[in-house]
Amino acid sequence: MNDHFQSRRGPHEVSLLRTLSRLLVFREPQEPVSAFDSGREDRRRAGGVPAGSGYQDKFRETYRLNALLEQDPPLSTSLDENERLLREIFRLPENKDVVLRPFSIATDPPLRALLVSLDGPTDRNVQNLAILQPLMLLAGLRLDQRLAGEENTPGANGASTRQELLRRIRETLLPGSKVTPAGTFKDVISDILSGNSVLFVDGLDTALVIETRGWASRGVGTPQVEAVIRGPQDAFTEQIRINITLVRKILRRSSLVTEFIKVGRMGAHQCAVLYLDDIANPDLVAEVKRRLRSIQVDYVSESGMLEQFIEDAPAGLAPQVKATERPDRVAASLAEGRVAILLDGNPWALVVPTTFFSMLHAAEDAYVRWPFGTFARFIRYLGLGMALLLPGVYVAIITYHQEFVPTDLLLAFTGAREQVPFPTVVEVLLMEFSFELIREAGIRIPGTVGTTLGIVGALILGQAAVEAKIVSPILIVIVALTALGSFAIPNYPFSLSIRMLRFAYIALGSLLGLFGILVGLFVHLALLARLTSFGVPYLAPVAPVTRSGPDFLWRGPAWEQEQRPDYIDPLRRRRQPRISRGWVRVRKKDDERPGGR
Amino acid sequence: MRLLKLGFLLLTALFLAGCWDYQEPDEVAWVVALGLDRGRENLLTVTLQIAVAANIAGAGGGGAGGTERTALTVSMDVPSLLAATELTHAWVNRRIDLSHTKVVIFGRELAETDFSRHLAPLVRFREFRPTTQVLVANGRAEEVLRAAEPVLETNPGKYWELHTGAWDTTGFIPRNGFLNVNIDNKSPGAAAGVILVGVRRDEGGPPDPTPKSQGSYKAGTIPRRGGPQVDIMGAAVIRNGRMVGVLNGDETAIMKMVRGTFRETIKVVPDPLHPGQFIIVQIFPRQQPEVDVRIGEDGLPRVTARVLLEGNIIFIQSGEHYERPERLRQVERAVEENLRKDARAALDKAQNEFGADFFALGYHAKRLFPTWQAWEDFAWDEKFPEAAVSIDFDFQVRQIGLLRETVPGR
Repeated sequence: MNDHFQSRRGPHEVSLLRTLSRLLVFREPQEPVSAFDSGREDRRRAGGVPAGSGYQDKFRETYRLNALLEQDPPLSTSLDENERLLREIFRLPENKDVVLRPFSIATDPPLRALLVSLDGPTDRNVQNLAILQPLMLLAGLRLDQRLAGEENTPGANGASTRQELLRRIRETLLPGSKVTPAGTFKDVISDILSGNSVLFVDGLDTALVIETRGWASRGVGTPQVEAVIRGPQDAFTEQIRINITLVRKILRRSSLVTEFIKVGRMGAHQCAVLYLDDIANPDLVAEVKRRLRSIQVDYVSESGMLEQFIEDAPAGLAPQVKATERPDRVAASLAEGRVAILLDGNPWALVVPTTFFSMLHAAEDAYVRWPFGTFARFIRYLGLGMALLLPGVYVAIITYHQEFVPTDLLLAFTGAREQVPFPTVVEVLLMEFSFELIREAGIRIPGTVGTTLGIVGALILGQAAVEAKIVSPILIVIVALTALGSFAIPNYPFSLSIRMLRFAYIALGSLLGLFGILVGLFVHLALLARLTSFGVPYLAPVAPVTRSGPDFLWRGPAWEQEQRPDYIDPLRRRRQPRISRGWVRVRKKDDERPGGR
Repeated sequence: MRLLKLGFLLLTALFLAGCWDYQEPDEVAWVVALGLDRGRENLLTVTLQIAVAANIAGAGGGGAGGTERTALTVSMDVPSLLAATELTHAWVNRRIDLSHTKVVIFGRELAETDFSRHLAPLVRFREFRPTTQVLVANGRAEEVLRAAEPVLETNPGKYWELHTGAWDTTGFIPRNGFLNVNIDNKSPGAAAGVILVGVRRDEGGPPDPTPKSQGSYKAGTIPRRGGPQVDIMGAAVIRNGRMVGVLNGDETAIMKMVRGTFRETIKVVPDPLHPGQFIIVQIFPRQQPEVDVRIGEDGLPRVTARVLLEGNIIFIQSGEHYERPERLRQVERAVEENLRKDARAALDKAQNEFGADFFALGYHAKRLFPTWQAWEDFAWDEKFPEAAVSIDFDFQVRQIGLLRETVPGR
């Protein structure tokens, strides 16, 4: 083809085209070919890397270093040897983040030492005051006499002397709260990367890891997504330690266990598993830990990613893990016997197992008096129904079952649609997609131009679309109700799934009318019933029917929440006695009932 | 993979439905009223009243208010009712849909000969609702539909619905509905009383300012000026599938009282102590009527119906202190007497004039027979004119209004 075209063009034309194409298309530089060769990918696969290329050298070096780390070499007694290896591992001198601080411990004779840390995540003050200062200035006062005496007997006694030295440095010279010895490079590196300082002393094959973490982090703020009017106003932050503290602040219980599991091979993230040891089902705890440990991945930075690794059914129609940013919800879940997973650097905690009904629960339900909590829940169920079904049912009724509609309303529909050029389905899809667009744009839009979105969304799409007779005004009401319904769903991932399924119902409604909607509901419910969250049926306690307190569909009074959910199978089922309001007069009958207390 | 295939098959199965029933509401002509008459050039004249949705919703863009036509009324001569819906396509560009039809009006001429025969398609055809109202016109149905123009509302469907639904605020409109009419029409032991509708006619004649009950009129003859052209009042009695006669408002009220479908009426009762003056009472049912049917030794039924009513005194023209507890009985007796008079007139029509049991007393007699066969063999409808029927009333004043005592003006 090219030859064919070129043969028709003159040489001038061809050169002009070349110039143009050079301007329009990014061309790889001509030099150096060897370093940046477009054909290298193929050659690499063939194993024929040209000798002496930078790629090959780097490849070999990387392979060697990784193999070295895999072996997990122990630290050497030679400080120089340790330093050489560290420099290699941290790619010094190119890497400017790693700080190697050689200094002498003020003994007589002075001991050479090396402090390694990352510039940034380390707290400089702690480093200066709690490590360098005592070692460089005070060491002489404390170590001299003892060690001077022992130095007379080197040789066979040398090893124990070194251990003694290490113990003394650790016990008498380093005032940091957390100082631990580390023997291998793997440990040392992971600590350096997490912001701790590591002290190497010449002649010792053990390094001391000193807690100097000082990440920049956000303070504890108010919940952005799960806001409440009544109830605590603190939310998780990006620091896992702070997050655990927030939970512990609520559940002051010795049986609250925090286990750390590292997830990810590249940047191992601390992942905390929280549970109440005397309540949570041990099988559940074991399963959570098993799933977390088994994850093989480069790195997981967000709990939303972690969720995808541990959920039961990745293609399930609803989230099987409840994400929350509220410590009080985590605490309440833990007290029910659930397990919480916190990921470092992430303000969202994951709670498992979770069920359909808890997707529609909000934190506030428990904090207001129960009739209002119940009312709010029913409003939410209504919202769920509208968000999921309203557009689909509208299409079905309007186009198949006009006899359903009161005549007045039907004539209003008909009159409103009189000048609309599209079929009802197209009209509905148009508006629903526009609305999704507004919503998506609303999240992505930079805050400074955020106000324009309201104008574009409300005025242009709502008002103008009606006036331009693109959609009927009644449809705007339908779309608005649907949107409100979906916003009333307290769980964001769940609301996402509802938003998507809505389109399936529109399709069913337009193809088969209400029959289609019912078919859809049937399949939908069947799929939900089949779903499990860490082995717990998703529709529990409705399907299968299990014993349950008055807190799944509606919200019973706080003093009636006597049992933990049966489907979690906690170690202790009873949460409060039958008569939890001690001041009420107990009827004789209640008192006599076995197990009443 | 198998699941995927299965899912794909199921998904494609949805499309097999083909969306044949899919219809946009703006591609349909909504018929709100139907008229049936004896045909001029064919068997039937069918009149369709179609709602003009664009003008009703007001969203059409005109915004001209109520001046635009909201209903389109067309008559056609066709061999049958449903043939009309097909023929309509010759002049209407939309599909005809009868599922929102509120009323079916029979012309008097047709009702007197062929009521049942033309009611039948309504039973079988799925687009008709059981709640559709069946009406009989005092003239031709097409005249009624052409004259019926909604004044208070824009939607002709709502006009008919509200108009026929007024049975619960007045005694003069029978409680109807195609379902009930059909049952009465087919069952032995009752005759249907169908709502009577009429275009207003100027009766002419000399003026006659003597006092008359407001219930003594029928549709089309109400002395009024202005307002819409169409009245609904009174009932057409159907016997053996044919219309046999007409009841006025008061007789219709008696029919409803005995049937137990009566809800409310206002009665103007002559003052027992002051001739020429009236007591006005509002009457409600107290309990369901007590109807007792026995078969006498001569084989004829003996029926005693006791209608239990209560009501409020609205106005005492004479200022007589009937409100006093000991004198309330006088009002009650006057009301009962007045009702008895109406009942006698109605019963006379039922037994002597029409020979039709529009009180549905036969339904109370049914339980006396062990089998349906025995009940049919008894031939209630033939025996009803000979039956000894007494209709009695028990009226109690419940409230005397806001006045404790009438003080005459000075």
